[in-house]
Amino acid sequence: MKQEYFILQKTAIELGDMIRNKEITSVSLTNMFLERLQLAQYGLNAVSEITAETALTQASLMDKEVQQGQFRGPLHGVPYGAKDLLSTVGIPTRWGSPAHADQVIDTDATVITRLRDAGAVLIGKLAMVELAGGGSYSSASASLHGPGRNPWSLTQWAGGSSSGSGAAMAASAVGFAIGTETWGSITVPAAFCGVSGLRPTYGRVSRNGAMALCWTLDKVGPMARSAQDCGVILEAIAGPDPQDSTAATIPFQFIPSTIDGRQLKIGVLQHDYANAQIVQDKFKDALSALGSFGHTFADAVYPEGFPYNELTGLIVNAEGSASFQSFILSDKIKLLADKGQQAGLLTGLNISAADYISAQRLRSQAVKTLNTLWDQFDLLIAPTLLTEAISAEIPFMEQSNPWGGNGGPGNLAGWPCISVPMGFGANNLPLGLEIIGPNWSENTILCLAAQYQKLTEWHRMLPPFPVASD
Amino acid sequence: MENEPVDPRVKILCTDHIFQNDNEMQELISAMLKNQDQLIKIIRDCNLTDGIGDPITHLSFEEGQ
Repeated sequence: MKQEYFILQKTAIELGDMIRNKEITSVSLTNMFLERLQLAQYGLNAVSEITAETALTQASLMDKEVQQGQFRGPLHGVPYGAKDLLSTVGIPTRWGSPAHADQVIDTDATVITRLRDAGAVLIGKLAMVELAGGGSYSSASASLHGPGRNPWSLTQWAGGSSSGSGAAMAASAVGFAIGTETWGSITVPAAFCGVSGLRPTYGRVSRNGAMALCWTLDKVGPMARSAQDCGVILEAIAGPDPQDSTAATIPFQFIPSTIDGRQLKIGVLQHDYANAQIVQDKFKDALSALGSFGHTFADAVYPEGFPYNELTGLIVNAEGSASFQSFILSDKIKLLADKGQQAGLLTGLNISAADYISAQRLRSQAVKTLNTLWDQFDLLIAPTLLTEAISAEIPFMEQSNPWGGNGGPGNLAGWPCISVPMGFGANNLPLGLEIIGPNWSENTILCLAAQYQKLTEWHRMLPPFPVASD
Repeated sequence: MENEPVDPRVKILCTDHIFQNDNEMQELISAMLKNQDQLIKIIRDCNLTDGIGDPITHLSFEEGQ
């Protein structure tokens, strides 16, 4: 097996270990990933900006520190990419939007600063759906960079809105990536691209410097090779931030032994698998694997009586249109790639304050009811989606894949979750396993996912694109 | 077939806007207003009680660990 392929299968933690043990330098690793990121830029539409010069300067500094016996932590010297809605001094932050192609925001997002302090090396800004899909988009082409292509099959979509984060991670063009989720934007690309993506609890990670789509739903989280990677990345980026009053005041520490010796009671969310037999089979295999640790499973359903998805939809539309009001009322809205999105953003301005407040009021009651599930279960589990990656070429409405999805209630409630690879579907494209927990339960979620990844190798599998060079 | 009357809200939304003479966009906006009306109706039908001072969790911040 080629040496490069061997390295590309590594988790971020393992790459950090190699740097610390002087088996590889951060500079050589950064050069290797930069080469692959260039392939991902043109082959996958996964990149907004490559930051080679600053990356190599940072990598050189990290190597110097290693030589001096200094080590900042598990991400020391590990190259990564950030979704292009996190601002970076001196580097364009385009929000995936043709209307913002020349935008440079003169501040570093808190997440960017924290990762630099942790020793990680930013090698690029990763492509995304324009404005993170605000106004709702109709096809994969809703991006400044074109449709986000899936490295497992270039005709298929990488998912959105963190398209580039999912695709670049799957293609081993970065050691790890940062994505964001308002409603599905981490879990969907994680499932489609076959990577591990953690949506943290609302408020766990500062959003200072992140584009606001929906103040009461936006979350920033890691996308990586393994669940354990997600844990150490979350530890680096989480915690209080004077620049963001919604950031939790309690720091997060990843504790890999959180569920050692514990037998969890896990609720299995119910789906109609009539047109998703392979997904059901793979899901049963996953439950069987987790059952070997002594965890028990029982059927779970979201409590009736609340229109969870409609509430989430109205709140996202109202806040998204408020966030971009000046832009929507300007001529620049015409520059967006997706006409449906242009119309949706303008339409959102017509939601009355009374209806928005009513939705938030009802949300509070809905969340209280949703949280009663935690009286019965430690965690919930389900396939992330009932479909493999859908086409990048055909408008979404013209595709009939059964979607499934568990995101509306969880995002409404601020719950954390992870999507990890659980095998492949009929078209040999990745499927995702989603583990959901109550607020602030990231350690439990991450450790259950890590147990699953101890027994499986799905997260180590690499797509055919790009081919490792000789 | 008789054309549906134009939703007057489309005209209001598009007054002095770049879409004011764009029929295709106005049709899209009209369709989206209908979808949005449905969302709003579903939420209004949930019968929140008038004038009750229940806390609205997500307009403030609630923390735990």
